[in-house]
Amino acid sequence: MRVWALAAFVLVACAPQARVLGEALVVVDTDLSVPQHVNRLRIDLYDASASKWYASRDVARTKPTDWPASFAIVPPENGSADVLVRLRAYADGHVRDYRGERFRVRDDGAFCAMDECKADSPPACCAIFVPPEVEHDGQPRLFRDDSQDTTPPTEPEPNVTIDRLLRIHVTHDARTKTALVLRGSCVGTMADLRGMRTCVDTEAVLVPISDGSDPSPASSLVGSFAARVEQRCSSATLRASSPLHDEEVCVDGGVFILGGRDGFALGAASNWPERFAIVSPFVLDKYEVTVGRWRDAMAHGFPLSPRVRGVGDERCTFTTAPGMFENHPVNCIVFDEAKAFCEYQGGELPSEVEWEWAARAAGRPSPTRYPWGADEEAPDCARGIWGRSPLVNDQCLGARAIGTGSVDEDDGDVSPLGIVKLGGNVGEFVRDASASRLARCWLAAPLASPGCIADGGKRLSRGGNWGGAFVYMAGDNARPELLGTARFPNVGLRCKRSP
Amino acid sequence: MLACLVVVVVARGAGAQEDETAQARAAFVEGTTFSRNAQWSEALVAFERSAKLKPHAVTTYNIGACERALGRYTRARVTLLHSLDENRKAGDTQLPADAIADMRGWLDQIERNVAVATLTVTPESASITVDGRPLAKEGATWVSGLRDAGPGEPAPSGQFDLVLDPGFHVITLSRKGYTDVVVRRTFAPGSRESVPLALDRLPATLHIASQERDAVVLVGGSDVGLVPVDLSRPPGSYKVVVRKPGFVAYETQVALSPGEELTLRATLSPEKRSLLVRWWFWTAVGVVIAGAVIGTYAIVQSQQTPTPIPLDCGGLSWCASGR
Repeated sequence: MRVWALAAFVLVACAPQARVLGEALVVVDTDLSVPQHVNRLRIDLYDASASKWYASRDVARTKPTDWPASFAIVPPENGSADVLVRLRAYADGHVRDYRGERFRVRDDGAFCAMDECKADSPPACCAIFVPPEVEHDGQPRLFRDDSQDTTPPTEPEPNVTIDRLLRIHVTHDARTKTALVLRGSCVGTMADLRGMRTCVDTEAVLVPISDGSDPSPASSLVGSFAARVEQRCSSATLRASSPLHDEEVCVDGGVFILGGRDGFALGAASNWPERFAIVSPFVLDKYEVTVGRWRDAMAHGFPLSPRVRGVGDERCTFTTAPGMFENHPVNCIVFDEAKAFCEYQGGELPSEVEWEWAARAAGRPSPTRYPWGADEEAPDCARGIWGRSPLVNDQCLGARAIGTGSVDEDDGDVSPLGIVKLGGNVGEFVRDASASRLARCWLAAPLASPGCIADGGKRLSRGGNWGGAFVYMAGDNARPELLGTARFPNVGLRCKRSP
Repeated sequence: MLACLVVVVVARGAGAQEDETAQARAAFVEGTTFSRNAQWSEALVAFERSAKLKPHAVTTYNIGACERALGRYTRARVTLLHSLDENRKAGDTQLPADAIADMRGWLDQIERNVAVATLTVTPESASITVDGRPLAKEGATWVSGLRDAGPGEPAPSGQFDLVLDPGFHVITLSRKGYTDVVVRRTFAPGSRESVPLALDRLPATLHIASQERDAVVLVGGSDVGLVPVDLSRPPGSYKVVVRKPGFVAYETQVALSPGEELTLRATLSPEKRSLLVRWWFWTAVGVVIAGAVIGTYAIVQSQQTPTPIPLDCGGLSWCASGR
């Protein structure tokens, strides 16, 4: 027995010791919603000076349970290394061509301090000014085995990507773990590869990169960003149904990707590039403002009148005496009249982001192209008021009259929240000035309630109209620019107010 | 400024025929009133009503004039030519000479203004519509905008010329088994352009599952997520790999047809582990030689290579080398 005990003691004392292979484990989580806002993770590895890009992987992480994701970096044989790791979380399909590192800084509050727009320039200046395309030289390139160029042809679109840089030290005889969270507050803030700066948790703020972990919670944070910023409508008192069609709908706030690349408009009217937007809750008119509602306001002292039908334009709906168009949307108004009307009614015009949120995303699990909740639709004259112009698009003429229809015409153009005619009938003025999504004001705009709100300059309407093609009713489509002083028979308004 | 002819058509007959003629005349006059105010769409409706009651080359001429004013050049051309034909059949008595001269000028102008698109259609048998209307054939020419809205009809050939009004049009190509192609384009007046239209075959749907959780799926070399995955891919051949640490990777080649739905179930088998890495084996060896051969055992121990602890590589099963 003693022999066995001695043997056991020697055995234990002299048993072979396991050899530690060095490894740095990287654990990556996100607080954005999966898969709605992010469902892919791009990992790029560089040497310590970021002069050599030597590895890249792009993996699908389509379910909340796929996060956190983890991978490891191993050191050279019996050595150590410092590795620069770039992590980008984004949604599938939201990519752009790779043409080299095209870092663009998010502007701070002094966003008009440029040669063309001075610090004290009116905001409308920032709606016009488009910063030049960032110079690119095609670098860096990814080489496998230092000889074969395997650079990915695309990269995540920065505006809708969380982009994080960190430094990892790995050594042959130690195992480490670095845990970090790719935070929604950093979406749209590009990491500065050459400047070694990154956003960690504060929008538009770049800090020097580090090699430390973020505070790591016990469980994944997926979805917590939206849960934190989304707000529900409070118990606001809403206007009830009335013959004036002035009832209201409360629209919950939320987070969504504004814009889209399926639209066919170009230049300033394009709804591209996309960007994230956080929307606060608001109260929106259920219907477009009607002739009857405007007439009622005038009867109570509102001093402005639309152009009267028959004087210069037979498609204007407002008549000197009540007639057959009282339930039609008011049109032939200039922007200032629309703005004044909403203010007279205790509200204001909706912003472009609020309008698109209501038209594409509010009240549904993920955004859709058309306000009634569809993504793809074949043109159908029974859906919405469109194609009723012999001059522009006459596909739906015949049994239908030229011009507008009643705001409560039963045609299926109703959003999941019950908001009517966001698709067709008349386009609707918004508060924003007309500006390219590449304009300074959009690039500098924060995540919360972004926009190019400005008086003066060219104006903007959203939504399709009675004379346009069916596809104009898609909420991610054209953003036509309008002269602020012009009156259009296919443009009207609806108002919003805070809850 | 366009001037519609105001030639009142006099008809002979009694009773109902006279009534129809009166109605046609009234509609004609209404049309001319609208024309003077440049209300071309209203004028068109009135002249068409008149023509339906009492066809006449002048009424047809006025209809063509309205269509031209509204920018519907393809329709206007057909209508004006029809007016000339009506006039010829009536012994060249219905249209004044200056109206005929005007008309010829308009027809030349229309020829200069219409756009011609050379469409290349693949596959040839696909159906085609422009602005929701099938194409019409006028003589040897294919024309859009003449027929009522309706389903598409097979393209006349793999390549043909199509005459369109200048402006924005939506061209749709479709065929069963393929995804529709919708081209939205603006054609400048008098332009000559090529428009290639090629249908993509309907994507196939691939569903990949495994009895093992957290297995990684690669299709065509790209990581597409953890099982189960549902993918849409164009028809073709793909290499599918499903792998998980500790298991033999599952690999297969699939050939997907248009619109096909295919389910793959990847059964992963555990890797066979060497006896030499089992802890109980070395414990058993130590127990057997303990006591009598302790010294030899110690020498053997000192000469053995320590077993390395396997790398983690994370949930992505990726151990990248540091440089």
